[in-house]
Amino acid sequence: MLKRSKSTLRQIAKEAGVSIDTVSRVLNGRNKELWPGTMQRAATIRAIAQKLKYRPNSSARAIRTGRSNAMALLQSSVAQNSYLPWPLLNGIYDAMERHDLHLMLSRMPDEKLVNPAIIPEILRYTMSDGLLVNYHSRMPAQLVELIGQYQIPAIFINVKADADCVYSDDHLAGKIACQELIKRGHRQISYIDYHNNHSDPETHYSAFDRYRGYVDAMREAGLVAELRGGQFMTPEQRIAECTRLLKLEERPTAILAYSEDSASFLTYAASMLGVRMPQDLSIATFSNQPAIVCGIKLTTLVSPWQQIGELSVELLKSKIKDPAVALASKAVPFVLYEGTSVVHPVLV
Amino acid sequence: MRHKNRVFASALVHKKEYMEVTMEIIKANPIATLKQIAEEAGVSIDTVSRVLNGKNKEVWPSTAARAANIRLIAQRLNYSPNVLARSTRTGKFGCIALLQAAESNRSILSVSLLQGIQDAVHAANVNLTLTKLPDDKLINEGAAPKILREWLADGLLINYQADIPQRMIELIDASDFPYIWINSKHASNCVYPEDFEASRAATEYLLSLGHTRIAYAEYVYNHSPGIRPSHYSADERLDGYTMAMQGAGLTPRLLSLKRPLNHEEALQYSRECLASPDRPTAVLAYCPHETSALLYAMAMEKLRVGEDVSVMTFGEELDEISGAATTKMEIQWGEIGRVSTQMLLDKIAAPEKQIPSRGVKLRLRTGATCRPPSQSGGGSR
Repeated sequence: MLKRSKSTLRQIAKEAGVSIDTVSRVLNGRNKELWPGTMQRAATIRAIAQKLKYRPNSSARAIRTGRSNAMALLQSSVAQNSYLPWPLLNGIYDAMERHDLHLMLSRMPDEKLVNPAIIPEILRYTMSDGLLVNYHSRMPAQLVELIGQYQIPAIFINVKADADCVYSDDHLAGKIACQELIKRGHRQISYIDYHNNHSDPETHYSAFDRYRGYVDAMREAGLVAELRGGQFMTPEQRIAECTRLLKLEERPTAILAYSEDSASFLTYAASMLGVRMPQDLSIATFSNQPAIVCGIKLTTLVSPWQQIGELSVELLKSKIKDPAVALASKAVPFVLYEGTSVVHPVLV
Repeated sequence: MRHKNRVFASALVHKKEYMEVTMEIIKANPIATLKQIAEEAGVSIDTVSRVLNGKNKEVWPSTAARAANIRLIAQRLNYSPNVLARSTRTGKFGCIALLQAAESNRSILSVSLLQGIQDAVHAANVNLTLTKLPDDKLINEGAAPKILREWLADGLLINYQADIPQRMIELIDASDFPYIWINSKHASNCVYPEDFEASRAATEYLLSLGHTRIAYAEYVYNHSPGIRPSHYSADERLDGYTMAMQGAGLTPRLLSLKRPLNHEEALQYSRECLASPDRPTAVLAYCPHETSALLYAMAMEKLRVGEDVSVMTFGEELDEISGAATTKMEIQWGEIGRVSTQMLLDKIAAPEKQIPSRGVKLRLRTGATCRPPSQSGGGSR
């Protein structure tokens, strides 16, 4: 068993023969240790604190201030409804660390999140001062209402609305990606999405926005836009679709793929058909990192997850200060990564 | 008493001291209490507690109205029910911390692992916090206590896989902060995937389909003399494969340049291996990196997946590049998350107990990338 230790700042101060203020300064790292004498004294204080097993307590501070100095990342208990790529988690974590905040990971079933008895208590349940709500689909509508009603400080990640959201600028990304292809001289550019159902309004905004960005860039250049897919397909169907597209007589010279996943099916089909990349086919896509498929570095619009994470924490900080004020949502631009997958079309 | 490392010992939660400090602060800073709310609402403290803890049955309109009133009062009085107050009563924070390395490639956090941890955490009604630390913070004696005291956690899940500094292992093993290692092998207190068994089972599966020319591909690690692969699975998967092959009286064949290959090199090397007439009829690939290179190489060499060459791998990612689900030994991350969290909770309840390490079996998931070898003897078409 551990021996009971009754070490307080006072005890350390007494033993070191200095004031409590000095002990506090030293142990909280706020001491200026410029002179050998000061440094030595600080070292002595730390040694005594260690001997006495002193553990300054952030929970004590929390009780004093009524804040837990933590933010909770709230996710759906249905895995598919919350998307948490590593750079997003990283961004959230890094920003919190800068502000000396804890990250709590919380997951609650929807029925709890729409329960009027639970929402007012949610900060207590999640041990936090505010919520980062991370739902990319099927967020319970009542949750948003209740959060507003009880003025729970909350920022929504990966959701596109006017206030209190941080999301990626997929429309701009779609436009930039398409312009990259046009710039290289491509005229026949198709857009493929074998993942999202474009006729379902519940589909994530990135599906519509990337495509609309592409359409706008095509229109501005006086070119005809073409959507391939636009509905969810099985892997076999994806391969079959890509094969059909690449076998067309009027085959596009460039293809913009909604995701790295779509691009991988395309490159696989092209490899089988002996379609050379990039000589015969230029490809650009969107991903969380510069995409490499089939040994080729694809020109990629990289999702700004790290910044989305960091920005959400900053917004939530303001929100915690004043939960009543609606904050303008932030759209974060993608980063263009130029791979080796886009070249001038070979004119036969 | 077990010898305890002083650095970590100094950072331990000393419950009695902690309780004294917090009780003093609570007494000195009265915030709205259940009692105040009860007085104002004209109900008992029990009722207030039930309502605010969500344990109230609000079946009747009058009960619901009363509960709503109590919540309004609590809100107006800025009542902040405090886990910290609860932790003072119980001596526990009701929270565990998941520790990740600062570099993402050294702490793989799969979605299912996080799900599993959250399942267990939720069932036990405790909270989960995430901490990411650069190594120097953990092996620097001055810094560790500062970090530990900020955690507010009763125990640690350490999710470090690769290149764990020896000093960190020593410091953590010597501490009596409850901890469990995830996905790395230690004498006790760890949960890891059973890679040796999985690799043997995978090879035996390919043997059972009738393959004899089975190769093992690995393009990830540096095998220069004196360098050990950074994760135990490198050795275990190779050993499991080798043992199964030798058990069947067959010669193991390794597809590897004994150094890490980038995507282009991986594709090129896979093409060379598959173009030769004595190509294997089945390949067991260390991870998705080799698998995708092999699948693309097959497409370019006009080889049919499954029919000409079977491909099998480990892990949970990489599916369906070739239009067909990959046959694989699936790491049960969800189970690993649940098991390790439960072990940690047991450890927190009885910190003196050494918990034996536990391997979690991988499960065979048959996809469409493995078939019996073709009649022509496999190599040619």
